[in-house]
Amino acid sequence: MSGDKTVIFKILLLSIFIILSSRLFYLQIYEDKYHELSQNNTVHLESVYPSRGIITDRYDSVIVENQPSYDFYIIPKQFWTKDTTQLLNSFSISKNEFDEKFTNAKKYSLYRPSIFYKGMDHSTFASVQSKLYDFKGIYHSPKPTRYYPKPISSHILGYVAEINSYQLNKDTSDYYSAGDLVGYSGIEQSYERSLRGIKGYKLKLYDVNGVSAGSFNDGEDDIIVSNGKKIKLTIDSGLQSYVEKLLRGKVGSVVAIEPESGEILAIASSPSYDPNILSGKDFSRNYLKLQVDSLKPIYNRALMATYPPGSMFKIIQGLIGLEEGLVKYNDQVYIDLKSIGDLAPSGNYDLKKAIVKSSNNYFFKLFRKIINQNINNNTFLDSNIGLNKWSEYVKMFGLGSNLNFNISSVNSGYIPSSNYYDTYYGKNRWKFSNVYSLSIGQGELLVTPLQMANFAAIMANRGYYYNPKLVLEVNGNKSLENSKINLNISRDHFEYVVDAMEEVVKLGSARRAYMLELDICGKTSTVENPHGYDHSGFIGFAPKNNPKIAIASYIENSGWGGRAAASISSLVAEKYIYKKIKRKWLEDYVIKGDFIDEEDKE
Amino acid sequence: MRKIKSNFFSNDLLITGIYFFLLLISFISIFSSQNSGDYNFFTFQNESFKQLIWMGICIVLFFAVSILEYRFIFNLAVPLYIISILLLVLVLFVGQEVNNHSSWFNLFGFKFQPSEFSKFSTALFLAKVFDSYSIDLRKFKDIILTSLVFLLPSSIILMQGDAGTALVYFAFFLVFLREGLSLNFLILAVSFIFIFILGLVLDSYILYIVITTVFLVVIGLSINDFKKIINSIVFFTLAVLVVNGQDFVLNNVLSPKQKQRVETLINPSSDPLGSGWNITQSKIAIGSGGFFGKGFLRGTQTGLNFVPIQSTDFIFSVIGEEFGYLGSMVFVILYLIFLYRILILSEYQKDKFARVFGYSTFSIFLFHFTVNVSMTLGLFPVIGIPLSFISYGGSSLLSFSLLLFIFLKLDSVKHSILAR
Repeated sequence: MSGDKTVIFKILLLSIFIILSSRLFYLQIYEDKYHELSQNNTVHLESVYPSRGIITDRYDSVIVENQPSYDFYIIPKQFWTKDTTQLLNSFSISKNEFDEKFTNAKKYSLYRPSIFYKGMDHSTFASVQSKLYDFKGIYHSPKPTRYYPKPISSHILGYVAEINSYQLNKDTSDYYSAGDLVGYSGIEQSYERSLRGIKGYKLKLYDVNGVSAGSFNDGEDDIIVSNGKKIKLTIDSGLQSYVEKLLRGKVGSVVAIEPESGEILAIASSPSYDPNILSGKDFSRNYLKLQVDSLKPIYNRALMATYPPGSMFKIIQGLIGLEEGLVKYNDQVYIDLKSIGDLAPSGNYDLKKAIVKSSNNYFFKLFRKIINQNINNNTFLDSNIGLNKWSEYVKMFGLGSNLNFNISSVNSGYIPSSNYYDTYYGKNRWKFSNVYSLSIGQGELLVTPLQMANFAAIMANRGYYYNPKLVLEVNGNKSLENSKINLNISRDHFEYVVDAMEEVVKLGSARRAYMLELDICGKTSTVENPHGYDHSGFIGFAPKNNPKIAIASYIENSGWGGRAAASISSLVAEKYIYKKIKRKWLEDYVIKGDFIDEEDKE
Repeated sequence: MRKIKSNFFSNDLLITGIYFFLLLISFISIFSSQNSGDYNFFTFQNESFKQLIWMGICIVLFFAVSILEYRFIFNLAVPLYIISILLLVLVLFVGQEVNNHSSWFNLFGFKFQPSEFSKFSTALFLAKVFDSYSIDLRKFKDIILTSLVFLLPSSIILMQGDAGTALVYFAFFLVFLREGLSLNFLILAVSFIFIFILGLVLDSYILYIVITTVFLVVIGLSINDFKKIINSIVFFTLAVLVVNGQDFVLNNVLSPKQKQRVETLINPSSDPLGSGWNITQSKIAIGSGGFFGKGFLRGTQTGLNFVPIQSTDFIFSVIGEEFGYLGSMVFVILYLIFLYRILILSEYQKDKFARVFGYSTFSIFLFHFTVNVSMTLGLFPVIGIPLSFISYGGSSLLSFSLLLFIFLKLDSVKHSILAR
């Protein structure tokens, strides 16, 4: 070699410079995925759970609150205890269970915490707490769980559970992640957004072993958690628990509404369950148990069950007849017992007497007048016109409607119109004789207890109602006022019928509901039930003047309306107005719950 | 002639300056790589504190070397080489295993690695050999005999299981190039490395087709030149052997770990949590630094231990992450200036001993720097060798410094050589 002997080495240095600097340029400037990769490596988004809003009754008495339950985590690398038996006893698990959990945890990671025990309740935790110091490598974190100091209104409240995969997929806002708690049914579901609050996020740094190394960027990028809002219900928790007490052992439901506002004071369905059992670690087991129960304790009868209204519907028929001018206050009609089965005697009836005696044949005749008003000579066409007119009237009472009640699912019941019979019998192939059972609230009519309570409120208000509501305030802000809905029926007609309802209680089928001071007005129903004993129904309100409470009760398979339903409703009114019960005998009668006489059973 | 009194002020100021600056970078990087949580700085558990002590020892060494006589260094070459070979053999039997290498002595809690030290003694001995005998590197016999100087320690180190350090000794190849080895050897070596790497990426039959085509074209062009044809046939045979021998090397010469590392380099995602982990995490660390870097002590990849052995082999990832492209380039350029300066000074040495030693110094630093940085950038398989002057480790810092100091000493007295 001759000349500059360093040339080859200078070329070498230059090429190294070019290679390294271009590689650095590529990695650090051109390729931008590395920044994200390093963030994913070390920065983990950690959710900070807001505490769920509490739920109170109308008097701010707490119905639902949060109580910590405890999840336990194990870090296999750190785990040590001198007394394994004590550990097993504290968590009441067997040696095998423990070994399995420990092996799984080790498989997952030696350094990262694995879940070890889920949802220990507060009282158990208190007893275990002192021993925890002896178990190295086991950590606990409190997790808010729903707690119900008064185990009432489970149906309407709904429950809170871990989000399921279906809901998770449906969550377009991407708010939830697996394991999050979410409200199911009732208030918990409908007011999920208010109750849940807004999750906060902490950006935390983790080292390669998954050990926390403090917050990222000194927490400047964290999102502050915002706690759930408090919800104030219209429910009177004292009344609610009394209603539930009366319903115990029976199948049915009671809805009580403040007529002046549409606020629901009590809404109960029986059988029920203690909402506490659906909170915490035994959720799945208990939920399954409730689901397979043949009496369907999860089913909210107050909103979902539909029954034919029965005799209480005669009030509506009477009001339609009056408004249509088909009957006058003092019109006397002779009623024989030929048309339809009846418990009322034959004789001269005016409308009031017909309601008080609950005369089936009177309303058979009245309904025929409503259906066939001779607007058309063809009796089929005439029936069609008449039925549709009737149907419109009935809908004014909020029947066949969900009443804008947007808490959980509500059944709207069913009000047949001409379309229904056209489909069933063929167009113009049906007339009054095909639909007459509607006259006494039987047949194709279906109503829910909520609708009947609203109907009771209409009677109490003499012709108007507010859609029933369950939520008074959200976070101290009054919920929207429901608008007043007037029925196009003269107030005088209502006064007339209300007088009749007063007499029903004083002298008629609801005498058990009578209480001198209470001045309760009502109407019973004994709903024909092809499957067993009749359902016992009652609507009513009290007191007659300036009513404070309107009630509907349906007690399944309890025979006459005048017994179970009327008694319960009357007690509910007494309880609400006087805050205590004087008629112990009636209460005992209801609690004993033996409403069916020997002769009925035959 | 007046005898020039030498002291450390006569050392090359550029190299000395950069050396101390590199020590500063080293301390900052090791400190940063150790910075997790509260701990007491002044403990021997703390690597940055330990390294600071080593740096102190180096400064003492710096002054010590500057008062040595040229002849003394010259005469030291043979005994030091023998001692280091003996130590290398001894460590095979009584050494302590660290990272599967039995290349450490444990002396009073301080670990000492003779394979680091023997780089220095080999360089010294090689210089002495070139200086004392008239070696003609055009002769095959001379090449073989001289190569034994570094092949001996290299093979003992390979027996210790430390293939990376063993490979470093092949850096002396560059010295041979300067001292008259034919450039063809460089071309040959580069070609075979290239073919070897191609063999990892391509199917071998494609490679055969390419090699054969090239071979036939060359034969066709040099049909009248018998010597060229012979050379081509030798080259062709060797190339086929490389391709064939590749599986042999992968399966028999390299340990499964090293083989995995070679494969990982080609495709890091093949085993992202195993051998790919180091490269992937190091690339993420450096890549996430961006232009300005995350700032001192703010590297998340390195600060949270995602990059393994970051204070030693992967120390460059700390620089890349915390000081970004800007810092990395400053570092690379500074280091290359450092190497360039050593190269120039070596070339201008008046005697062969100093020149060969200078080139050895240059080659060793160049090899360590290039391979280590390429490794952290995912350009070279992970062969655990330190980044000279920067990586944590007392033995390596001390022996690198000794190498540099002796070179500086030889350089500082070059004007007085004439008096000899």
